[in-house]
Amino acid sequence: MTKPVVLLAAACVSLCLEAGAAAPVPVPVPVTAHPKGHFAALDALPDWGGVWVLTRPPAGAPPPEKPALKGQYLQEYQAWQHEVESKGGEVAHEGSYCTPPGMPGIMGIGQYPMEFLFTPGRVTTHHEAWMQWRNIYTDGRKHPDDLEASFEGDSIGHWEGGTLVVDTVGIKDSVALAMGMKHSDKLRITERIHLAKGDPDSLVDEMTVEDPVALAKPWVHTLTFKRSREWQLLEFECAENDRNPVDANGKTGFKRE
Amino acid sequence: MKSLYLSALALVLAALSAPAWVHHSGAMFDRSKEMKITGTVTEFQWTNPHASFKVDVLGADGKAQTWSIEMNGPNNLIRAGWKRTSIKPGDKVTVTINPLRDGRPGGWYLGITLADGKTLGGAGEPSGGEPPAAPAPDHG
Repeated sequence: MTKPVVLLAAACVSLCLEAGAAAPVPVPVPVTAHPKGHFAALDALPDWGGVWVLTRPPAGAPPPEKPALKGQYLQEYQAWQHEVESKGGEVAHEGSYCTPPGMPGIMGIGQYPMEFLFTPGRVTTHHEAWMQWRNIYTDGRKHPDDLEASFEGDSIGHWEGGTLVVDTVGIKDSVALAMGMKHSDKLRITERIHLAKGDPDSLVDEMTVEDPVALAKPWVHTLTFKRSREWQLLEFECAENDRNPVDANGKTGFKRE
Repeated sequence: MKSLYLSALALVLAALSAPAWVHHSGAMFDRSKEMKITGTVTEFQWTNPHASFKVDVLGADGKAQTWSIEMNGPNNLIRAGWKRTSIKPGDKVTVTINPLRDGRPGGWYLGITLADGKTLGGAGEPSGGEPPAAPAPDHG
């Protein structure tokens, strides 16, 4: 969030001083941020080109581990489950269904592919669904001291061989850990993302979700993706024609027009 | 019937097989019922988050009833072989749907037979979530 401020401040240094205004206080940024050049070094990184589509566990596979909530978080989830059952599947939903899921949900979206872009000091993910992105800074910076919570959180990463290790904190309270499940501000997500052993067209995201306030134990699960080199991400503007408005009771409508 | 209850994340967690409800509840459709309707396309909306079209179906009384059919999003339909030109007003089609629970003439798209006999799917994700080895074929 600091970059636009820095740019504005820089613009103001020349313009505002001419106008006789006081010089703005510079906002410190990591000295390694956005280094010029260094593109050749990216060739050493693994081949994650193309787009990636989430794969379902094969039929008969054991169900993936679910978050083990505790305390009030468990009670609130149980109340939510009860509400879902009592309303025949409809449930109150914050905002519109065009609100994106945030982390960790955005990594687990079926049908809609995602991609990874490598640039010096940074890995960027693009997610077709809701047209979201994640910035994963690999330039050695730390998380900001004064974190601005966001849907995707603040992500820093580093490479361990062909594995991108990502540490994410600062995810908004309103973002669900999983459907009906809330989390505390102690939520931390660690991902180890790498090509599958023996299958270079599969990508694995080993995700460990820790929240000592909301979870009885870390939630450890693995997402797998299949590569398509032919597909490309398509535009997904959810508000273009939302035919399914949600009323105050969470009931999803059906517009005939 | 938790499979109908909401988001993609729930689907992923439960590893369920009704993948179309990426962005909202599908509880308004009766997934236990399948029906076929045959009629004339009167409108086609090729928009996110869901495409849709209308079909006028002639009743026994000779009057047309307009059915409103909701579909997967265009992005997924494209990858299943659909195009923005696949149907147009005036086309005679037969559509398989899960009807609305409330009895209004509408439903969730499952498949279609076009006037020339060609069929299209795209109700859910192709190939169980795996991208095809090549782009979906152009159905013409």
